[in-house]
Amino acid sequence: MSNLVPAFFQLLSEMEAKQTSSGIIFVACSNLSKDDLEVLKNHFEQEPPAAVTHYNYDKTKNILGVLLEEQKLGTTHFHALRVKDYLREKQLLAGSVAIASFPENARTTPQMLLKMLQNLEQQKSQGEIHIFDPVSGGSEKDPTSILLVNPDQTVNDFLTIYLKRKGYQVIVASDGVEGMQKYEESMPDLVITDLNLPVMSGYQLMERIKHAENDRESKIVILTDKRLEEDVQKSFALGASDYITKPFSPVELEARVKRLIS
Amino acid sequence: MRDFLLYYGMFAVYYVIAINSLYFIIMMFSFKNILGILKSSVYSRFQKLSGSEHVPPISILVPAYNEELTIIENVRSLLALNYPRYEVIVVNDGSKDDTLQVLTREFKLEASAHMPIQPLLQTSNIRGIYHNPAYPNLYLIDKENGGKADSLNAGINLSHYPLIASIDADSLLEKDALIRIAKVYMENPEETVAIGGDIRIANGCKIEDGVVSDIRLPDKFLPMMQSVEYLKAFLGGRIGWSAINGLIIVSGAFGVFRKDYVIKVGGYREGYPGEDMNIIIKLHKYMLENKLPYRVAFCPDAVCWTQAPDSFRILGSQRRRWGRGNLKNMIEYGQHMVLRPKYKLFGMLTLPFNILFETLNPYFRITGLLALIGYTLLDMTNANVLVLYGLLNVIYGVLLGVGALLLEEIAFRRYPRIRDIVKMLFYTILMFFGYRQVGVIWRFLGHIEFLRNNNSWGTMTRKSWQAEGNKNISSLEARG
Repeated sequence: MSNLVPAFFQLLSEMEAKQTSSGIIFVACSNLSKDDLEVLKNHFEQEPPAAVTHYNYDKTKNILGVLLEEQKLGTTHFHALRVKDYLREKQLLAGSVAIASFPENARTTPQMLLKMLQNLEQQKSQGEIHIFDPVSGGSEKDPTSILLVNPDQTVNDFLTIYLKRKGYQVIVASDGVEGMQKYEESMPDLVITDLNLPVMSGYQLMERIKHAENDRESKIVILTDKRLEEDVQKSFALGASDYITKPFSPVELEARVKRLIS
Repeated sequence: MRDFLLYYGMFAVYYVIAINSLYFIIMMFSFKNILGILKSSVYSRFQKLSGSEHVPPISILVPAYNEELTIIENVRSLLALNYPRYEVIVVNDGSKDDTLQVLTREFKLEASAHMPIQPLLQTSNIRGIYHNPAYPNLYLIDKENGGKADSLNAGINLSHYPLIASIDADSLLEKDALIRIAKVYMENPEETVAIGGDIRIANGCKIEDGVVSDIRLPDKFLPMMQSVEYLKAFLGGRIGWSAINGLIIVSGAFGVFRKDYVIKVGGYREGYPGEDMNIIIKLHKYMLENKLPYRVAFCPDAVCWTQAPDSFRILGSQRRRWGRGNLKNMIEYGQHMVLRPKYKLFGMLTLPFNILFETLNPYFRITGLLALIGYTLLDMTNANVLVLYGLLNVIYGVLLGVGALLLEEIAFRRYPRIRDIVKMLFYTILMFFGYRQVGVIWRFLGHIEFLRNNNSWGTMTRKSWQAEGNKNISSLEARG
């Protein structure tokens, strides 16, 4: 394990105890010597922001770690740009940059820091800044899959684009039977379905999903025109996790989806 | 003799002028109203309305007689309508085919012994009511054969909601047809007793899962003719009549009624065809006799797609049936209501108009034509009278047809391709060379059947929607 993780984790924990956040920057470098590090420290201490900054270098993995006390993601990002430019000037930059702010982006755990480092090592690109996001970006190997069952083509297209941009994997079906078939094929984490579906109604779909063989339970969100009490009541009775009526806000929908999945 | 023939011929000419001028005036009312209808449908939020608590619940009644081929698709499409609260009641009218079995198998319906049914209207014996909790808003009544009106009455007895919609088992409702009609009802729920929807011909359209997915004009000759004919009748005629509250018919294929008034007028009449016109006449009569404010509305943007007969034999039987039903209704109510001031516009205009220009139409036209032919034969020098008669019919008719097309293009544009518009225009003109004349003869034959006391329902063989759809796909493939 990199020596950065325990060192930074300790600092972060102290910050968290004081209820302040701190920014973390990891940069992949090429052979940064001890002297180089000192020069770098001095260079940045002369300039604002006047934040308490810790510099640390992992010799084995060639990663420079920077921790900014009491700073949010915005300042961290700004600082990362400057660090990147500095390193590039000195021709010490070897890979990309990962930034995060704790606990803004993720919970403070050694695992998260480790994950962040792993992400950085996987990035092949030169000099790009990646904001660490454990929900979507952090788990690119296995994105959350959502099955969208809706007879309205426009809603389907729109939501597919929207949710894909948010990092989800989206599967679309336009009626109940197709929905069930796609469900069995893909076993999604979450199903967003209308109640008013051709061939097989939303209720029947929910019932089938409940009885389907699935090792992890899929959450069901209803997205429908129907605003009758009976429909709301029946949907929750059949195991729906949430009930959203049209016209809907995609931002709200995504927020609710996110809550259900994490 | 020659003079008599000429005078009679001239009378027929004036008759044709009068009838077409009246149609023209009615169409003007349609034009006047269409923009309002267009605006209200553009600015209404049907999507939001279709989930609202405030929309009145509707019971959809589907009388089915020997419909095993189309019934599943139809019920499926009805179960997926955009409407907050409704039920579908299929009434199997003692079918001789497997309509009952097909339905119970498909929806796993089971006979339920304790379904409460109110004996509001007399019907033939009910053999059983089927239901499945998995489809809570689907009911199936199995009863002995008693006709379409009898089936509707049985449906009313079981229905749980204050509005009823009657829908033919061979028709497909557009998903928001019901909500559009409900909107018209909600504009004036106290006074609206009946609302008709627009009927269009589905032949040629592509149908998937009980939904019209690709709107096309029919390929065959007869359905195409009917397509243009329906357009003319519904858009050119009914919008105008509804504007002056003189609508005499709400098509049996798709109409919504207030159940309480339907029950008050004794439900649907059995024994004769034309029960759809009959119920509207009875509603007019009841409301006028009791001096209640009311309206019979027409909602042209609520569309119901129906399968048109594509053979002369079946179309003829349908038209003879219409002729029979029309004559029966006119005799029964005409003698009590025509020109009685008590019945206001309905008695003073709608009914006389219908008797003179619809029911008696064949007689005037045929005899007029014969008289003119006879006259011309006696005196060839005056052949231009015959030409005049023919031209008058054609030109006026085409004018009306084009007016209806214009209405369609202004307001709805269901057929957006230029090719389709040209095709409709062509058939509008073609209609006057043969098709209309045959129609007049069918109506005449219907009257003869009525007088010979033949009141059977006539056969209407259906084709499966599925087959229709597949056929279309293959014809498309062949084309391109």
